[in-house]
Amino acid sequence: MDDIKIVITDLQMICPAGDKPELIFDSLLKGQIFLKKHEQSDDIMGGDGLTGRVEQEFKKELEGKGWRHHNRSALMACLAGKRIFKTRLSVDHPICQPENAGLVLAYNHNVFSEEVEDALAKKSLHLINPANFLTMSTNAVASQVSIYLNIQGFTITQTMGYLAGLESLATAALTLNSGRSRVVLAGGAEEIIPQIRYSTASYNRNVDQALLFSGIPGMPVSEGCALLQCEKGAPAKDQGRPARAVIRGFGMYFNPAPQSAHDPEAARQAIQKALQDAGIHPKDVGVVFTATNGNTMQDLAEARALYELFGEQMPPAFALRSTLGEGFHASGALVSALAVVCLEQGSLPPNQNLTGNEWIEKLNLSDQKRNHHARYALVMGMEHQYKSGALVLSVPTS
Amino acid sequence: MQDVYITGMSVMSSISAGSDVFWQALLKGESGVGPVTRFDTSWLPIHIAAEIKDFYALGNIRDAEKKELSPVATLGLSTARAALDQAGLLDAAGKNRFPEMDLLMASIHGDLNEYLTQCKKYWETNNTAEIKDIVKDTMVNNITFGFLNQMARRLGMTGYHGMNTNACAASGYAISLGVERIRQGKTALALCGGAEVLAEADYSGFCSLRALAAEACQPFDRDRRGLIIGEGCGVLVLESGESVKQRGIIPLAKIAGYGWSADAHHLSAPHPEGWGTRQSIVLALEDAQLEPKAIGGIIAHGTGTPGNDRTEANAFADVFGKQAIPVTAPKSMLGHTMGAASVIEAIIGILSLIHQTLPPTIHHYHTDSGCPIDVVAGKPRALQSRFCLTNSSGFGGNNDSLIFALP
Repeated sequence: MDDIKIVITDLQMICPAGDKPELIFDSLLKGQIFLKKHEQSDDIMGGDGLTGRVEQEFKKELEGKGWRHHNRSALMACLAGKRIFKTRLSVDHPICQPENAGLVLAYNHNVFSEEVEDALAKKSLHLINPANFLTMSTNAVASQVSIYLNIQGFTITQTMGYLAGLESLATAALTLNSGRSRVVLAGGAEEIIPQIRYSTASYNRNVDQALLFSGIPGMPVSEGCALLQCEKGAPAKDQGRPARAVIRGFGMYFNPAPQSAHDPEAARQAIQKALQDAGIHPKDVGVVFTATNGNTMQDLAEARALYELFGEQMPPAFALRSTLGEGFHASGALVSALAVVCLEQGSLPPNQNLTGNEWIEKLNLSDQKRNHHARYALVMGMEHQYKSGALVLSVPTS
Repeated sequence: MQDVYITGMSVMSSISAGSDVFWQALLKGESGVGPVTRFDTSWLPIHIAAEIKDFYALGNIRDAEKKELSPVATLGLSTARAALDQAGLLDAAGKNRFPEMDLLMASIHGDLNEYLTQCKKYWETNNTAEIKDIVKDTMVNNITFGFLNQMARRLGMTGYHGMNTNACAASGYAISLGVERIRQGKTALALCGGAEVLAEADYSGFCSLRALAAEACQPFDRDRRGLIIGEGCGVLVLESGESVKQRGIIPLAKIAGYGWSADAHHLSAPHPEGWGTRQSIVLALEDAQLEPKAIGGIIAHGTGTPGNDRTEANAFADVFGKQAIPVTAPKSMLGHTMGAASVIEAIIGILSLIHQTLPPTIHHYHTDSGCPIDVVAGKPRALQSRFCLTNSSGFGGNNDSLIFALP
């Protein structure tokens, strides 16, 4: 059955909790929190300094290549991709040839703006470094990764806010089913840049932590990257790459109605579409990875949708953002990667920053580590309360 | 596998709005290039662009919407409404009758002007709580994909949304993804396109790259000096064969195939041997199950930059033979509309098939000896074929080729 499905055969994560999936998982199981106050502001953030460490790791290699200008989101994705492919793709690469590989990367922010803003303000073209202009634009992240790893099939940059990382996996499945590629790296990358902090600062009202369901807006900004190696089940198995998880279905819904707070319509419809795409029923879902991030309206919209669907049979749920923060275009991929590890390990990390709210119990969130074997996982993505995506993953069937 | 047809399309550009008027302007070889009016260019070495003169030219944006919509969202919504109307998908009240259809759009930077203005505002006001609220709302609308949300809300589109930022091939990828979603039965209808407005940040960046021409865009000409940035929007309604049959609508054209590739070579320079461009064309031909000789005309990417034109022309010569197929380059009239370029050129390809005529490349006087192709220079030329190809490339080595056919 899985032979004809799109499967995940490898993954890498880089986030405030670390840069190796197994160590990240262990840290999360131990209940570690990776949010702290930003040095120059009151904002609560995750990952402060993360990209600098990644940059340091690449320093020698970059100098050797004469690659002086780079985007730190791209560096995270390059590092993740390098750990999956091991070496740059070539005609005799053990995984696939360059023209048979694709990349779908979720990323949004143009980060050249500070330099350009300065140039515009001072009306001085000399302040714009052409190389920076090239490396800092939106699609340049995927392009830098494709150049670094020699991916020649295609690169796609998708932007759709918090749920884009999730969408990248659906696009990977689409392209693999089309026969355009044999292996697709799908995921997302986002570093914390001033613009992200500007655009979301209103959510961070100097709260001490990301309080879920407290009624206090408190979404912490974060950063990271995750890439998942996706391919068709049968050829992957034939080449000695067993499935770690199966992509079963995806759904997305946009609620165009005038927005009222906590409207669950988008989340409800997205979940139903994903379950339908996967050919399963709500009772089949064994674990839910929520998009809960401390944004009050979004969290309650998601919570209401999940409770309406599952009711008293709500399976155990985990909110990764409660400990890592909101990594924007990286989040969907980070949560999906963690879902694969949780399905494999049969364990669910404790949620953090829970407050005494009715939804904690209704959503089966717990502040304790849980041993829990599930077959199907539902991974949620929310772009505020009006747009939602849902992905169904499963353990491989033998 | 479902066949994919085009049942509606519309365009807004620097030379005109709406497919019919646009076609007449193309045949006349009109240029949309003029002095930049959106911002001060006195500090820059270049002062021209292909700007849209009237964002409301199609007459389908309501007064209340004019106050609410960002510039890119205005272009997207107006063009989309015209395309949906042509496809017979709007009801008497002007509402989309198929809300569940896909919406796949492209743009390189969305409403970057407003986005950067808000960043600056935030910074200068020293993080006060009041400004945070203003910034938050504006940011959400002006972030790259914000215009897609604004379009979707007013068109009542609830289905799958995709936003592609694959540089100057972005809207070609949006179309290709729409094709694939229809082929695989994920949807019966997809609204695909791209929109771009002039942004001072991008304009100055291109100036820093010394990629802009000072006077005219001259694709494949020996005296070409660079590209001219333009504004534009194009939207196609893609529809499955089954849906076309059920609705009893006569399609405008069929998408016979598409091809993708990534150069994996350089962030701005094309592959020196044109590998990526050639690869995407070959894959499109394979997908369409066509021999090269079936293609009657090519709508080229043709930016007017020395490197791109030479690479692209040689890729055409490799696949189709030297001087074998007429090639036209609309950017000579429209400028380079970045994230909207692929879809606008797709519309030109479809119009060329419908009218069996290729529009001219203007400002082309002497074909570069390094570009061994047959350029449709100065005046239109007859096209005697059921198939044409459009080709796009973007910074970072993103390539996309589309083959259109008469239904």
